[in-house]
Amino acid sequence: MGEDTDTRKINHSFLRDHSYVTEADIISTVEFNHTGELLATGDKGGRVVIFQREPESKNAPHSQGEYDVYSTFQSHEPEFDYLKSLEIEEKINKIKWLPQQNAAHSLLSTNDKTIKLWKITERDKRPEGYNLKDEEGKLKDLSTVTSLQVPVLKPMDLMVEVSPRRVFANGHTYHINSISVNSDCETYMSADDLRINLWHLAITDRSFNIVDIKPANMEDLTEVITASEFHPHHCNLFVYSSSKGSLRLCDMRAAALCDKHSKLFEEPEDPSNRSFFSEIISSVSDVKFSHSGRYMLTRDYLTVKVWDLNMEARPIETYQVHDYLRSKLCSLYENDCIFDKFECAWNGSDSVIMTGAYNNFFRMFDRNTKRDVTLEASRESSKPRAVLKPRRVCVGGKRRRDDISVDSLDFTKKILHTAWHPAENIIAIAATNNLYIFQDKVNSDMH
Amino acid sequence: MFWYSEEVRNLHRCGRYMLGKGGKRKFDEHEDGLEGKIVSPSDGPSKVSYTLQRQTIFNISLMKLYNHRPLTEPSLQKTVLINNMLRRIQEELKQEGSLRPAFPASAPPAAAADPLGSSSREAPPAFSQPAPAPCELGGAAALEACLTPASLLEDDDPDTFCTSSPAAPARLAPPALLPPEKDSFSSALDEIEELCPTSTSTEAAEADGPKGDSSSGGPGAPQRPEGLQEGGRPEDPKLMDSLPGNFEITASTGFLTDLTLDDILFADIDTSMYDFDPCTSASGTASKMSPVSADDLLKTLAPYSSQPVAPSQPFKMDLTELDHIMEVLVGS
Repeated sequence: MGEDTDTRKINHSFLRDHSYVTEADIISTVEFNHTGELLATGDKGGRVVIFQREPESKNAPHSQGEYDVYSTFQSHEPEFDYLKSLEIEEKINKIKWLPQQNAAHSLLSTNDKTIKLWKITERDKRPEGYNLKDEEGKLKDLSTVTSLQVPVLKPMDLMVEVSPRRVFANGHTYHINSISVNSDCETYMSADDLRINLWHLAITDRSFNIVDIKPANMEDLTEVITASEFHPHHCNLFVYSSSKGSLRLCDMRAAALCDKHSKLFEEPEDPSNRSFFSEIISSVSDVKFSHSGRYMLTRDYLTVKVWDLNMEARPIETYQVHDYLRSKLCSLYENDCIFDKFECAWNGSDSVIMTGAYNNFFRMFDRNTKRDVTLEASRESSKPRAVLKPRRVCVGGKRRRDDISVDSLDFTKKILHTAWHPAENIIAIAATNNLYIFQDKVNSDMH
Repeated sequence: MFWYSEEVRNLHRCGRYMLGKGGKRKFDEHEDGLEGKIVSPSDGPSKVSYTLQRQTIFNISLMKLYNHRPLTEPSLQKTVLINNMLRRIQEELKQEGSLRPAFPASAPPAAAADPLGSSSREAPPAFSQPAPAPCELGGAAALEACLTPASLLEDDDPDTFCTSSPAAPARLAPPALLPPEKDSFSSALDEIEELCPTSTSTEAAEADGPKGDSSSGGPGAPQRPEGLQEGGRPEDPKLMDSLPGNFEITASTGFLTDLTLDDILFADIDTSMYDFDPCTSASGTASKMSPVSADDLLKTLAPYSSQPVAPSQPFKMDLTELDHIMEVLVGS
C-alpha cells in the first residue's frame, strides 16, 4: 500500500516536540470498552480522553476503522489533604467501562482517593423555533411575535456531553490502585494498599469493606494489596494480589469480610535465583482474569505468569519478559525502576498475552505456539501502515545489526499501560505521553 | 477533528504487527559475572564484598526512606518493600552479631551450603547455622559499624560512615589469601545472589527467639551478643520502631535516633503496653514512654470511668479491673 495521502493523517508539525514531555500529559491508564468501539485514556493531569473507532466504510477503504478523539474532559482535580499536609494527585490511576445499558456510555475513573462515575451522551439534534427566544437564546421582543410556532428538532453537529453522575469519595485512607466492575453490573470494588471496598453504583455515601489486611500494629505491616479484579462471570469471586507475590481468590458468599481467602496462589521461591531483591521483584503489579474466567495473568517485575484457577501450587506458564535485567537489580533499585508497575493484557481469545517493558518495548507471548516477540512503540520506527519490526535485546555474545544492548536501554521510556481490543487484534500502547494503536491487518488483506 | 491541538495527546496510528518468531535470547551467564555464577561459599573476599554490598543496599534503602520529601504521600507499597529490605538486613546483622568469633574458616562452607541447598522459605533452623561465617569475626563490631552509621548519617558525617564500614570488612578478610576478586560492584552482586540466605524477618525473629537469653545485657558490655540477641520479638519493635513511622507520618526521624546500643541493651523493657493511643503507636517516638504508675493511669481513666475518681485520694483498684482497663486502652 502506498503512502497515505488522506488528509486525515496526523500532521506531525502540530504536535509538540516529543523530547519535551509535560508531566501532565503522561498517560496513566488505557482501557477499551466492552465492544472495543471506544478507547479511554487517563493521564497524570487528571484528564480523560476517549477515542472512538470510525466505522469502516467501503468509500474510504484505507480508513480501516481508525480511532479518533471522541471526547476530552477533566475528571479529577488536584486536592490538598489538610490533615496530613499532603497533595492528593489528580492522576487517573484506573478507568473501567460499565457495560452499556442504553444509548449512553458510562465509565468509572479514579485517582488515589476518589472514584467518579461519568456518563457520556451524544447530542445530535436540537430544538429550534422557540417562541420567546431567538436562535442565540436571547429573549425576543414580544411585539415582533405575531404567530405561535411549535419548536422542531433539527439535526446539528454531533456534540458529546460528559457529566459526572456519582462521586464515591472518602472511602479510602490509602491510595486506590485498582477498581473492577462486577459482572452483576450493579456493584464494583475499589482496592487500596490495605483494604478493598464494595460499592453499589447508585450509592455514594457508603461502601462495604470486604478485605482488610491492615495489622493492628502498623509496625507489623509487611505486605500490601497491589491489584484486584472481579471474576468475569462469577459475581461472587474476586482476586487480589500482594506485594509478596501471592494471589488470593475470595468468595463473597463465604463471609462478609473476606480476609480469609478461598484459594491462595503462590509459587515457592526459586532458591537459585534468590537475592536481596527477591521479594521486591516478586511483587505482583497487575492481575487479569482471562476472558474465559479459567485463568489469571499476573505480572511481576521480570515475568508474566498464567495461573489456572484450579491449581494453587504454581503457575501453569511463566514467560520471561526481560530476564537480562536480573543482573542489574541493584541499579534498578537505586533509581527506583524496580518499583515500576507494569500491566499485562490478554487478547480476545486468551491465546496471546502482552505486557510492556523498557525502551518503549513491549512483548507478546503466544501461549499456543510458545513464540514471543519484542516490538517497539516509537515514532521513529513506526510510520503509518508500516509493519513493526521485531526487536531484540542482546546480552553479550553474538550481536546482530539492529540489536540493542542491555546497557543502552532507556529506562525512562517505559511502557506500563497496554490494552487489547476485546475481540480484534487491535492494541493500544501508552508510551509516556504518546498513545500508539496497532492493528493487525494481515487478514484484512484478503479482501 | 483530525488536527491535534496542543492539549490533545499525540495519537499515532500505525500499521501492522505480526507475531513473528521471537529470537531466543542467549543469556550468557558469565558475561557480566553476575547472576547464575556459582561461587563457593568459602570464598573469603566474596564474603567481604557481600557485607559491603549489603551495607550499600542498606544505605540506599535508608536514603530512600528519609531523604525523599515528596509533596504527595509516598507510595505505601514502596515504603513497605524498602522496610522489609532493611529489616531483613538488620536481621542478618543481628544473626551475625550473635555468633562468636574464633570460628574456623573451613567449617562454614559445609554449613552454609546447607541452607542454600535446601532453601525454601520455611527453613528457619538453617538460619541458626553460621552461614556467613567470616563475618562473625568482627561480629559485634560489624554490627556496631552497621548500626552507628545511622546516627552518623544524622550527624551529617558521611565520611565517618564511609570509613567505618570498610573497617569491618577489613577485619573480616581471612588471613588465607584468595584470588583477588573483581573489584566491580557487579561482581559483588554476584556473590550476594549466591550467598544471601533465604529469610524473612519473622523467621529470623523466630530463629532468634530460642537462642536469645532472657537476661538483659549489662550496660558496659556492648560486645556481648546476648544483649543483641535479646528475644527477637521485644527487640524488633524497638529496632524497627520508626521504620513504619513512614506508614502514618511522612516526616519521621525516629528511626535514626532510636538506633543506639541503649535500645538493644534495654530492649527487654517492653513499653508497647504504655502506648495509650493505638493510632499513634506507629510513630517512632511514641514507644519511648517511661513506665506509668497506677496513679497516672487512674488520672487518665477518670473521664472514661463511670465511677467518680478523685485523683488526689489513694485509690485501691481491683487488679482484674485494672487489667481490663489496660486491655481496653491497648485495644487488643
